[in-house]
Amino acid sequence: LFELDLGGQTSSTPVSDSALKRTLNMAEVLGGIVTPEVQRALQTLRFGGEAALQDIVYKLSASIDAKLLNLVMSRFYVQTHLLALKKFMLLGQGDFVTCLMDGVGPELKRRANQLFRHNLTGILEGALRASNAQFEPSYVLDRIGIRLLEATAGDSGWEIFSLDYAIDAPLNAVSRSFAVLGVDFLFNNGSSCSIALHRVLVCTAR
Amino acid sequence: LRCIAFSYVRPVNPVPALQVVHADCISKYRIAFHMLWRLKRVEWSLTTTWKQHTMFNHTNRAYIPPALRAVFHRCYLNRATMMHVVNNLCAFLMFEVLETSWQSLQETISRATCLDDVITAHDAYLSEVLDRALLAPHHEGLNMQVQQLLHVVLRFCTLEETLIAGKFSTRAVGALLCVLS
Repeated sequence: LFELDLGGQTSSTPVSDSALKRTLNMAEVLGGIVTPEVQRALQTLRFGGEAALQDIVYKLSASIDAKLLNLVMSRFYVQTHLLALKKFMLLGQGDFVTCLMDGVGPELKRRANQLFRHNLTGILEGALRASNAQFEPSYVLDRIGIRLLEATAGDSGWEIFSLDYAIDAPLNAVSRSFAVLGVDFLFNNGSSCSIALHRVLVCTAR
Repeated sequence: LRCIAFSYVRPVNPVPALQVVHADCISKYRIAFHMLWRLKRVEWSLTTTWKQHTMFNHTNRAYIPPALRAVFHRCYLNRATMMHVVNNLCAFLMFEVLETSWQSLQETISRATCLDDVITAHDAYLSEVLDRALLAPHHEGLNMQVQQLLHVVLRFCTLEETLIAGKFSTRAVGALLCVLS
């Protein structure tokens, strides 16, 4: 792969233009990550210019961060989910809470072991439809559910009832590591910036 | 590198919100939910018993014995105090704690330059909420007192409900008077 990029060139100063072009083309696929400024810096890169390389890497990482953030915010609705968590888990949506209380109250007065999840789910659906929560997008509404805690003797329904916001569905699949997330996104974009960076590094080394 | 690229197994349908709202956060949200839900329950119980009580008074005015009337009057007075406390607590949590923390979270997120900033901002937001809602470990004593207060209010509500449900037993009246004092 790298041999191809270097065009068979063995001596390394100055870095082969075609290799750089390919690298830049590659990076362009990522769309807007490589600014003209960085491009110019890449073209003037010479062997031994570690400081310049460091600078380029910092600039690239800043633009990748910005792009990643933009992607997460716009395509995955992080803001909407946070707001939904506030509305439902922290009871910020007052009319919904009142509807839910009125529906679920008589049911929760029973003993904990006499509660039926399907009754409560039905009431929750009703409350979601009856209040302003109905105007939430479907990707929010689908996540709201009911969780019943482990009941101990003498508990009433009130003690074990809890709302749930199912954000943890594929949690076991996604590693917590930020690095993995970043790599994942870049692969998602159809191309890997780490490959591009690696090429730059290899080019300089040669 | 290419070989790594293709052997890397992409997780099915990744939800990046997870990275911001990770498992720790979910449990914090649950803790806050329980506190708020209990408070809302108390508030709801108070208004429900007020409704029942008022209805009872209107329909059975002529049949209420004078001794009980005095008890009912004290119930009203005490409920007003309890409502005052609970409503204030509720308003404090909803407006002073949640809304201000949310506001600062919004500001931090709008200034964020990378995803890590968002994650730290969200973590800080949750800790702030828990701290100011008296749920942090160093507020345990105060939180216990608040919970005890709510417990007393709930007992009052259940007793009054039994009273109004027509079970005018002397025991219920006695227990109610005990709670009131």
